[in-house]
Amino acid sequence: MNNQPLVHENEARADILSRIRQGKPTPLPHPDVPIFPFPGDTVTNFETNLKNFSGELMRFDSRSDAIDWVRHNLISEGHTVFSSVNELKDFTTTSADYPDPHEANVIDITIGEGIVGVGETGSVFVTDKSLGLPAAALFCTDLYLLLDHNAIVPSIQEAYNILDLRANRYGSFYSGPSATADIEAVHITGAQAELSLTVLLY
Amino acid sequence: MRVGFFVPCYVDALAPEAAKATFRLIRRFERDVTFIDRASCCGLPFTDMGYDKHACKIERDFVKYFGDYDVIVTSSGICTDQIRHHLDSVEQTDAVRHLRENTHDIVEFLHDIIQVDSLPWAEFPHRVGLHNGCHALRFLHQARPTELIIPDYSKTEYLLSLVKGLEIAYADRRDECCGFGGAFTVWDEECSRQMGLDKVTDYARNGIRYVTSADFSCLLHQECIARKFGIDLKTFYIAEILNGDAKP
Amino acid sequence: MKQVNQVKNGAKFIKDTLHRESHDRCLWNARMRRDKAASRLPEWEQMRTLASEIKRHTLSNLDRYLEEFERNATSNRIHIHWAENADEHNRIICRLMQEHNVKVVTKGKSMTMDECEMRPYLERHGIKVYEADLGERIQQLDNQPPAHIVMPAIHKLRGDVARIFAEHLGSDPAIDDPRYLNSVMRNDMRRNYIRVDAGMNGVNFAIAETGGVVVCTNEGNADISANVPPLLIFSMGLEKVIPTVNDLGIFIRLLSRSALGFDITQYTSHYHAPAQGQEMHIVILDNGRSQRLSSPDYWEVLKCIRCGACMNTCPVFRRTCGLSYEAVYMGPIGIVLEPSYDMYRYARLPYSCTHCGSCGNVCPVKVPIPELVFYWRKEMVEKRYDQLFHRLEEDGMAMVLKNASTLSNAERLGLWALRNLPKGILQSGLNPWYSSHANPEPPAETFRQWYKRQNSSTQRNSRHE
Repeated sequence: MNNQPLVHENEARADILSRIRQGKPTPLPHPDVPIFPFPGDTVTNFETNLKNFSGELMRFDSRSDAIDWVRHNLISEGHTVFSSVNELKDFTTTSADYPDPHEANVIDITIGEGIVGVGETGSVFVTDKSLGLPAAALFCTDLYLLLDHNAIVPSIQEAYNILDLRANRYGSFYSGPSATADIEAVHITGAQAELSLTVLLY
Repeated sequence: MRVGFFVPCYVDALAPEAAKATFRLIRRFERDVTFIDRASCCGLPFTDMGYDKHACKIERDFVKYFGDYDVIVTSSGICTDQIRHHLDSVEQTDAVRHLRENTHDIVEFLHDIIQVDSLPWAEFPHRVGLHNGCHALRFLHQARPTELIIPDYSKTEYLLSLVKGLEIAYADRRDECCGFGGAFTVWDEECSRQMGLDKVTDYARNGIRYVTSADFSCLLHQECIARKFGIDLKTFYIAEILNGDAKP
Repeated sequence: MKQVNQVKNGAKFIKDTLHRESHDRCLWNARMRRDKAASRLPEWEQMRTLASEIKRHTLSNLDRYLEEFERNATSNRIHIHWAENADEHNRIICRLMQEHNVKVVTKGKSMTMDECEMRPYLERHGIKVYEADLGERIQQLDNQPPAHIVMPAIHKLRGDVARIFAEHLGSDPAIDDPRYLNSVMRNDMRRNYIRVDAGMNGVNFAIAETGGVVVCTNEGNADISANVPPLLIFSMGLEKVIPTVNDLGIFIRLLSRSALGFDITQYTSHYHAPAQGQEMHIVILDNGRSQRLSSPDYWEVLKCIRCGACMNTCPVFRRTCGLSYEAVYMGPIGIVLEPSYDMYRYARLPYSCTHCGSCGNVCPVKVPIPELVFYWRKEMVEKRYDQLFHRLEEDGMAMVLKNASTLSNAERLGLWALRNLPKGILQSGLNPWYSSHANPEPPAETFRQWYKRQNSSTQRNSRHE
């Protein structure tokens, strides 16, 4: 079965690092990296930029209003809905229903939690835990992300400043639904993953 | 201020009017100007193609001819860039450093050294396309290239604004290289021609019939292509307009 | 191996007006969007400087940061592999695939894997690799390499794609609407995703501080490939490492704005550990990089973050298309990078440049591409690559060089220029200029002759006075 000659990776590692040590330039200093202010109202920026990326925004007075809207409008017979949001998971399928992520391909609608929003780009930071099952967010047709308006920061730099990337195996800034411009640079919303992304802002 | 005047080979042979205008323009501001007859090459054709070693003797001679002058003025942006940034084949003596720091093209001479604020003799009541040649633009920093997010400025535009009646216009792709590129125009003729054709078509689309630049080589390339493809275009080296020599 | 003749290849594309004009327009629009996106950030130039300095710092301490990255990644349950060259890279990955009994692979964009020619290698070993990025897939189906590092099929028209998809994916050849073609791709890839055994992706940044990797994409394919199958393999050049998350912010702000003129990519994804039941591997590739790092005139080429901005702005690239370079990396970064892989094969590439300098200005990490072009031309002359010299001689360049270097006397050079430039270079039917340009008007006298005449008459006049 395995007819490949083995690669001596430890040898390669030692050789590569030793060549780097011998040949690298004289060490240069690391610059001070300031956090640049991002002008304008953060929530307004968020909405504008989310829409630039073909995302949609719905505003609610409270989280419970947003949850109610989801329950009345998204959860229905005839659709496979996925969520790991506490208030919703009793009414939807959850990750327990998809022990193998391949199976998530049947999902129509996914509702997940956004951790942080970014005014500069209209992005929402999500994680494997906040989505429940990343495959569900990527395979679904319509993705909804709950987001607290207090969790929107002005810029990407500020988002990195407060996020603990290492705490999540998967963490991603989602900026509108999947898109492509690979054919004659024509911008098309809805490429291989979700076709629409709506932020439920409360 | 002792000024040494350098006329590069191609300007000497193909654009004597450009050199004359430059010479006369310098003389209007500084009488003590000497044309160095013996110098005709800055070494650019050699370093451009990688023949740095061949450039060494030329560079040495160049330093010998111009070493004694306070300021060296050239009638070419690309040669100025060559002397300032690529005179590397000779030993870097004080004389070489002095030469590199004090060589200017006519735009820099007028704008930075003389700091002119009027050119009362210059009049050209026409719409003129301004082509900032790539070397003058991106290596001599005579204007803001569109790629850089810095405050807008343009030395060439300022000087032309002193010319009575002149209206400045630009091609849509104002900073796009016109495809001359020195040896490139011979090395990759097809691409050079296409770039030149795109440039002169851009002028025509914008109703530009006169074009000026601080680099004569770009103008030669553009005008000859325009003529070949039947596009109405007349070009002027910038000194011709600034000295009031340009005739439509 | 044959020397690549980009000039000849490019000439074919130039003649194809429809494709050339579309290619030029698409990339120029990306450049224009880039200018607009950048101009909204007053700190843009400061960020370029910071990004360059962070890269310079990291590269000059590269051993330390690679070890830190490895340590942290390993403690995140990520397997790290080291590959000296393309062959080792491919063998490592192939072995992993065989151990996991992998049959179907979906693969995101990765310049490193392209560099190693990994896909054909795996296919020779019976592993089916589906390119999952739309542009890459188009190129895979058309049996062509990518023509741009960010937009692999940008040289094609929609009709070309319709034809290719009809032939390979059974779509309607009469419909060339990009929306329809995109849905054909989507549906086809879904059939692959539901049975995919292993996902493969490139890496944009590896963070030493956290031991994770960052992948920036738009279509969602990379995230599906990373989150669905039980085996996940990343491939990265060893220069991809950056020190901290704080540094990452600068690069993320620069990357997509430079590449396509958008504020960010649709997915900016950070992978710090495998999912439950998943294995995650990262292959760190050298393939000449440590050698490049040791060259004092050249090492800054390793700062490149593969955004493609230099290609979008390059007037030569836009008119000749990426395939004309016959290389993994094309355009401005390609002509200074490829000779370091194979100096003979790519000896002519550094001449596919007008020295306009635009690439240096758009580069988000300030790779000194214009200076590196000079560096390589000098190297090529010193190595005396024969074909290059033949071409130079054909064009009369060598004659210029031979004669002019002995011409210290200006008058002789002036005369030489007058005799040879207009006739030899400008008026001869054999010369290439003549077919593109009308002859310049030959002036009655050179400046030198005029100046002498002026001076002698001035002297005569002053004697008479």
